[in-house]
Amino acid sequence: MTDIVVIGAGAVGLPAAYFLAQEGIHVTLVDKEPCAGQGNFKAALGGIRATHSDPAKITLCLDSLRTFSTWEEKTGTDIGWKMGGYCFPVYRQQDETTLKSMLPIQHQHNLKIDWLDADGIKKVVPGIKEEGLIGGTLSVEDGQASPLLFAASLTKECKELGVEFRFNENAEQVLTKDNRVVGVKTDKATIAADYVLNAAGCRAAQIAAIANISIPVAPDSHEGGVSMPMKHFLDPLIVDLRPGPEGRTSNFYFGQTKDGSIIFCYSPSPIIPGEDRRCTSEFLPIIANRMMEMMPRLKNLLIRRLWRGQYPATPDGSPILGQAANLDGLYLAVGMCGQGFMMGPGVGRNMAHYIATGKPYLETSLFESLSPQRDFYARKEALK
Amino acid sequence: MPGLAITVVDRRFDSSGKTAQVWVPWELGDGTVSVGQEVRLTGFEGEEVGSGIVRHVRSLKWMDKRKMVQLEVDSNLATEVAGIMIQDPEFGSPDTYDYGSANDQTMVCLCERVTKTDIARLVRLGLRDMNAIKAATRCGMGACNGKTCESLVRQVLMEEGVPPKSIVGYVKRPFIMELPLSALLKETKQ
Repeated sequence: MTDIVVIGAGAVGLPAAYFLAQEGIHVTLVDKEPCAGQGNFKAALGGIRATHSDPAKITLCLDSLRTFSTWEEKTGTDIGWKMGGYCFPVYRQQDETTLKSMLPIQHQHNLKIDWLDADGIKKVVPGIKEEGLIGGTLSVEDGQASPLLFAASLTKECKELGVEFRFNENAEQVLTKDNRVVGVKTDKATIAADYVLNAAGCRAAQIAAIANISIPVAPDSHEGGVSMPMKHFLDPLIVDLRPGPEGRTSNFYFGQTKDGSIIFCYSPSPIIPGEDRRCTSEFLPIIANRMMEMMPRLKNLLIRRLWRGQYPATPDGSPILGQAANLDGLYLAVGMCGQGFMMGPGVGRNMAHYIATGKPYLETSLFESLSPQRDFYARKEALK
Repeated sequence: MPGLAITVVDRRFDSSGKTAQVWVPWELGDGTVSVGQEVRLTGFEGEEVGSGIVRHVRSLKWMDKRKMVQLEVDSNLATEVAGIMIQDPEFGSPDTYDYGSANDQTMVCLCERVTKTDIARLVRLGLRDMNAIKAATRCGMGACNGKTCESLVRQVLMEEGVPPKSIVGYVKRPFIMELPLSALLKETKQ
């Protein structure tokens, strides 16, 4: 007998289990992979920003940032945390308008973000292309960490808190009685539990279906890469909101990790639906052109490794948090839209408190804006 | 077995000649040996030579805290006995635990400088997925992208007694060697 079965030992399930255990709840984590963080957690680039347009996401990520920035102090484990900020350099009038229009809401929700002119941007992004540079935003308290180190450390901390891990095990059915959760049936066992948390990332819709619930989460593919480490020269993660001239990218981003590697990724346009995790030969030539265009000094950068992962996307770009409407004891923390790593600790801490006490830390109105019962087509996150 | 290298052997008490009385000096405190107790005996080099029975513990004022202990021992042993061993034989014995790979500083991953010890420690914590080992140590994430260490990590797992079937191998990712960004530029621009 366990109190709660968390399905998915990933970017959301692991921190949720960690905070649930801290609330004194006995947690059993079920994951079909052989160990923690083997889904799309490890495909995350590691950027952590509270720079969003949606107040709920801003607040959740500020919460996450507190966990990331104090993790080493609390646990003694280095997770590659670096508070280098996020920078959105701007070359187009329309991007200036978009970013500036978000500032009041961001400030209202305690995000430290400023608009810098071109000279200010040149200082924080040494070597950036000057031609046409208008300015940009810098949110100095955003940062980066290593998803791999964070997954390993979370696993260790969870074990110390008594979380039970069940790997190589596939959840097949959520067992119910009188419209209440009573457990989970897997391909190996039946686990009695009062609550179930769906934190299954890209498989969230499949896992919801085993409880006869339908949620709008669909995976689409993104590729990323990493270079050899080099001397530290770049503090913030850089996001370029312009679509690429090649017609395949709607934006791209890159940064330097604490250990010196350059990490990079772009958002494909049109999106690439599906769960195929094999790399393509198309990705690197495209992003090489984009990075060189913005920062020519990167020409000798040695590229080491590439990978591909999926974003569990929702129609409005915001996550789905809360309790299922028609089944008592079933909770959802899904649809992170590629931001599971940065939102994970904030989401996990809020969901744990919500499950334990009936109330999240987040203001009720913000939490309800992420409800599974919301209208998914009413609005859209501007910085997806 | 503290004491002087002098003992007194007295063969007068047993007319059959099977046992002899040996006096040894004894400098440990009261109660460490008692009359009637069977004790382990040591020779002049501290080696264990057999056992005997304490017959008498003599302690006089002029002897300060030193005592004389009379032991009944096998007659053949009498001249070899120099002291008494009261310490548990297990205590202080050389550590015979087999550290195997966990004490081996051989490099498994030269790129990221990961040793056999680093890997074996994680295996002993229960890790079986090489990707988890990779995540924790960076073994396989260096310039060679795991070409060298993959088989070595697998070998350490097997040396640690992990059945090959339960080992999960690395997820293979491009490239097989590092490439400069400029080599990947699309030529359409020229």
